[in-house]
Amino acid sequence: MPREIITLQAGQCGNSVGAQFWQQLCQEHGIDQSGNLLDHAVEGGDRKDVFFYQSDDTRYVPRAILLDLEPRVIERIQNSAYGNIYNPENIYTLKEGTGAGNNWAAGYARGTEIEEALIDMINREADGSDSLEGFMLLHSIAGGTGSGLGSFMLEQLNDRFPKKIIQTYSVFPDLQTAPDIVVQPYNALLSLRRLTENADSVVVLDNAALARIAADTLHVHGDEQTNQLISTVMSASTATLRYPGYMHNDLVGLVASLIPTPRCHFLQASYTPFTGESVDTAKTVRKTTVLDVMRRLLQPKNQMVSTKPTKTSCYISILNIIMGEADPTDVHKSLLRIRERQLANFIPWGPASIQVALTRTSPYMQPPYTTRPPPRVSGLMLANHTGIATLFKRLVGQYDRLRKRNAFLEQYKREAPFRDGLGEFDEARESAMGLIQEYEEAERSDYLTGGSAEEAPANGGADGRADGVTGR
Amino acid sequence: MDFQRHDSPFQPPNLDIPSTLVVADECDHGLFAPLEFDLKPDNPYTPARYLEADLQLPDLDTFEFGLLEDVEALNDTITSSDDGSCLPVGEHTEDVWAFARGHETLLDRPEFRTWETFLDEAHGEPCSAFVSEAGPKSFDILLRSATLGRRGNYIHGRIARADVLFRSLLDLGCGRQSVLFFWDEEKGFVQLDQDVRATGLSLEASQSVIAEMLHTGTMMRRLQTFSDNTYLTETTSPAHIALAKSVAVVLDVLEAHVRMSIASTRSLLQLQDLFSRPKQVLLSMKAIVAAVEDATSNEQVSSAVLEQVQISQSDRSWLHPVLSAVFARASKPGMDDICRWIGLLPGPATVGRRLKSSYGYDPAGLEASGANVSLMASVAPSDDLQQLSEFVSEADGTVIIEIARSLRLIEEQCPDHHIVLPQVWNVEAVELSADDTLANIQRIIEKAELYTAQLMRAIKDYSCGKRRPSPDYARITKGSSTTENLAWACNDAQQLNFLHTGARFLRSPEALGLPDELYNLTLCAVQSLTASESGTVDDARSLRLRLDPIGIIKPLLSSQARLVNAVSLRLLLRPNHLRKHLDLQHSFQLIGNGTFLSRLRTALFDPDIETAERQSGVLRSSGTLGLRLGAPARRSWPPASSELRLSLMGILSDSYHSHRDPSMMDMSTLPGDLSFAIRSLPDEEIEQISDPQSLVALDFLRLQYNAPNPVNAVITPVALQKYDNIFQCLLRLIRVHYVTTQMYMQGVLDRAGGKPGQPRMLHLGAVQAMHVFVSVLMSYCFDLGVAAPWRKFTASLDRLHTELALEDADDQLGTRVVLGLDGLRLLHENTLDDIRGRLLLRRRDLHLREAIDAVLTEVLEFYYSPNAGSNQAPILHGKFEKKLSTLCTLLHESARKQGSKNAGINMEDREALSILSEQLNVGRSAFCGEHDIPD
Repeated sequence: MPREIITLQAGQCGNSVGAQFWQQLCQEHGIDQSGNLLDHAVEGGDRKDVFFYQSDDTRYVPRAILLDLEPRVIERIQNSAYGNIYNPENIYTLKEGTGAGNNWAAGYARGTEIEEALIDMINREADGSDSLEGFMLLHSIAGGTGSGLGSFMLEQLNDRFPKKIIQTYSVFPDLQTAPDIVVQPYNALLSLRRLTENADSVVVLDNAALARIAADTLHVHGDEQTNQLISTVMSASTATLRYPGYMHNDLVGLVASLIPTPRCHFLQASYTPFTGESVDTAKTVRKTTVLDVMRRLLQPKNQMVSTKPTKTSCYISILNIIMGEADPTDVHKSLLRIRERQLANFIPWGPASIQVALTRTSPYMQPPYTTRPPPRVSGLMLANHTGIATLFKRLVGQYDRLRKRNAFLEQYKREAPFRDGLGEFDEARESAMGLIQEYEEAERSDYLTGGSAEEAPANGGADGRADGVTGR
Repeated sequence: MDFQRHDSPFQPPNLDIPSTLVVADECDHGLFAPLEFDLKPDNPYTPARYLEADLQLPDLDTFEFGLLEDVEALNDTITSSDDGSCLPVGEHTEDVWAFARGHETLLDRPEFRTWETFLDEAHGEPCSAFVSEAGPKSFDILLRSATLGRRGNYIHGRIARADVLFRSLLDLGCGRQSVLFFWDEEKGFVQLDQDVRATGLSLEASQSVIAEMLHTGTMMRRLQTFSDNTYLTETTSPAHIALAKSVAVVLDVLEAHVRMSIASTRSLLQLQDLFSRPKQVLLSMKAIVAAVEDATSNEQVSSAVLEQVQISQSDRSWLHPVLSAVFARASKPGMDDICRWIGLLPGPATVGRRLKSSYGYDPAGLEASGANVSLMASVAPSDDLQQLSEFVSEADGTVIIEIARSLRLIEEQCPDHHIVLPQVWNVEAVELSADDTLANIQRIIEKAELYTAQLMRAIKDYSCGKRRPSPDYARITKGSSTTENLAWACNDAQQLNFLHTGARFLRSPEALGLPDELYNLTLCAVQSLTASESGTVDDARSLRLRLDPIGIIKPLLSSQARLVNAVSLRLLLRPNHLRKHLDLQHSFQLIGNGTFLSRLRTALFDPDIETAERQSGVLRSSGTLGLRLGAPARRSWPPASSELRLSLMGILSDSYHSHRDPSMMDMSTLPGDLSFAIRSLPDEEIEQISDPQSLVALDFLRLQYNAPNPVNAVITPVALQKYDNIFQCLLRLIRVHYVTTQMYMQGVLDRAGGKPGQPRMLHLGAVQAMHVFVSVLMSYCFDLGVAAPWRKFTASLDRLHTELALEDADDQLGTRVVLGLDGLRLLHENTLDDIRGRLLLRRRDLHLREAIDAVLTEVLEFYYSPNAGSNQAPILHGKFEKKLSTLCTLLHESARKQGSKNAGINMEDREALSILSEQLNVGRSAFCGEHDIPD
């Protein structure tokens, strides 16, 4: 009995990343562009039914719902190589729509308008599952559709499926440089509230970091490359679900390893080494031992979030997903070495939870099915780090700067959520501040007992079992 | 010696007559009167010196006619006179007869002896002055006179006639009855009268000799009986018969020896000496025969004989060659049987019927019989080894049993395989002759090489599809109108059977009746001859080799082992897909299949799916059903078998087939009929599992797998027991992991949220600590415990496949891979032992296992406690931390102790334990120390 996951992809970013993700999944599972199994895909051992269902003619169809408020991106996807694999009934676009205009409120408002259609799609898909485990939302929180419609969907899912896990892959805007969209702090902050309150797990992908990795590590530029980076991370983070092992073979297993308290559920990801057809220049010669991979995963340059951790920042938990030919003994030795060398600081109030999941890789992603061999060992690190609060702080800071001037609020006021006032903004800010405060409290030893905020953090705030200075 | 005929053996001799050997004073009773010549002293022709000299013919070479110089002239008158009275009185004259008188005394000395006086009954020996030299009769008289009148007439014993006694004793020594001794089946030879003695010997001395001869005779007779009866017993083993034959030969030799020496034997002393060595031989043979009394098989006979040979070796070194030869004969049937068993000789072997000649056995039967397969015991052929023989060393025995079992396996799978019946396929059987000893080991090696080459050719022919028998076989059967040529007899295997039957008839009988080696050696030993005198060359080395018959066939053994291993390994790995079965064990028994684990977990624990429990008035839906262990709605535990069946239905086959290509799989059944089953548990454990909240609640569930033939050569019942042990442990762990995940879902994923400081946060802290602990333990158990050793094992199998492929490419067999089925089985079982060691399931780690179980029990208590979400959470968490602390201490000590105590301990195991210890230590919550932990 599979633990199915329904993927919702909203907006331009969400759909682009999603298209890349589904293409990668098809390749990994030996599914061709029409949804049929390739002739050589006979090895088995994978669980395609987590993300795909089989139609009457045995084609594999993604459990994906594609949502956009303008048809351009989805049409492009439908016209692409893997465009035929989707269930057309699961695609919702406003044919005449022009999108949400980078306006969270517009996206949210359109959501409320098309709620019935959306819920129909979701219900149909949920009913088609034997044992639905949860939902995965792919979106960006900077624009209008991904953030607004995405937020609406999060609320709906939360209301309608309270026992199902909701995980999002949320692309955060680049908050360090001049924003592409001037209102992105508004959109992001409003989305952050829903991510905080209505999601169980949020994998934060920072556009700034993605661009940096694409440029510095892979020496490429462009959205396609960053989409591929994200889809690689998504593929890796779902590898344990698709190639199940003894642990982490369902979404709750993954989440439970990383998120000890409900609100601190924003995860950052690192991946190494990056290779791929379209990132050919990334073919750097690397030494891919397990220890090396695990060390690199802890390096800030491989992290897909640009945070600025403080001295007291620390890891709440770490999950390393190691793929390829890794000897289990090597993996655990490396893990011990990482601990011995105190390369990561941990929270003072709980166990230093650094876990590792070994998983298979697709047999169809290596010769003779591909021209180049995959890295011998590759790794994905999903980490729950208190330093992510700095990202939110920066976001709140940018929001505050805009809000102080009440800039660009007119377009918001035109939409339903703000017709009665801007209280939504304040609530979102309060939620964000509460989140930041919780992350800061999580650095203290009395986090669970709820001691006074003035109390000095034990051992300088970080776990006394590690003396690293960066917290990474 | 008096050979006169007597009427009665007990007629006393006339003691008063002189012995016939004594020179009589008066010899005038002879047949012939003493020769007397009329040679008076006064006779002028009386010889001057003595008669013989004068009667002697003169030397013809020097004789000359002429005057005799010393003869007086005849002109002198010689007057013969009777006395000297004629001499003038008072005239002193020379006494001329004095010389003649002197001659008269001379005449008295030489006696004329004839046999006439020898036969004279009245003849008496001259009596000696000393009793000791006066002869036996004087001793007898003396003895009689000394004892007579005091204690009766016969206290000194009745004197048996010497000749009768001698002959009787001779018969007795040879195991025959006589007038003095008769045979009693129970007592052996018995003396008719206990007071018989020999003349010249005291009763005690006589009886001593007689007793010794009685012993010898009894032994002789009993050995004869053994020899005769052995042939008559139907159930006797060939080794018994060989031993009986040897005994017969030895007895023959002893008789012959007595027969040859009896002519020169006159006295009892000589007789006793004549039987002294035979007695030693008989003693040894008797001991051997007594030792094999209880033996029922060839091997037991051989072992018993060997033991006796070794005992006799120290005190009767002269007998060693004989006993060695006896052992060689007695062990030959066993050796031949072993050779047949391992395919070196054609024909059926009996040894396989008693020993477990095939790998594996029926686990259902084992279960039914109530036999408990110990986890520590291996099905290594140790039992068979003990049965096999003492003269087969453990290493050789292991090789032999492995060859035999592998051969049986090949025979079962491919009855027409050339290695099973090599002789049919033109491979000559290796017959080792008696002179194939270590001295000419080179010849044995050459034989072995020839055999190997022929057998390899036959095996290659088989691999190439050449399935026709040898030309010889064709020649034998061609043109004959026997049943072999009938239409129904076209099957090659059937033809082979016919051929073998025919071949047995065609074999020439062994040469019989000629003095053999044992005969010569025994004769030599009893006659005290040296080896060179006897014509047999037996140095110490060859003697040693005689006691090691396996040593002679060792070159053959290694060749056969190499080829049989190569063939059987290919058979097991290729057509029988051993790898598939091992992967199946890994997927299910070791829970290496994620789909299976996921499905099983849902079916056993998921509280959200419909229950399979029978509820009155409620129809079960067709959806997924489950046991819902631990769910509040669950009313009874353990579940009914129908509930189990409904819940677990399809899990195994779905999980198995999810890993296979749908087009290639057989959907009907799983390999080995893999299925869920109920583990039989002792009563006290049954009581424990009825508590659904206990750690052992699921201990009744197991997987049943019947390893098919020949896969059961590797996946033995013992291995399956180990798998079961591991499955039980992993299932407990999975259950607790599910519980922590459930707690997590109930706590963290409740989006209503919770504020720091609230009881909920404390509860979440405890949940996280427990979840991390169980995750670390799971990770250790599955990665380091199961995956790492299994990975090594599969790597070995991969290497094996590669090496076999390389061998095939080189057209070789057994050159790269020396591993046999037994080696593979050991590799597999050792892997399982490694896994059990890592999972701390061994007896030595019992304290650690108990400590782990205690922590896991705390987790379950926390989960099921109704107060876990309230202020009780810190207390329950504290109890958990305390147990965890104890576990960490024990683990740390254990890792340290293992490192220092025993250098031979598996370093990887120690390292793994250290890793677990460190991970748990680091993973421990900082909770400890901040809260009062209740006892």
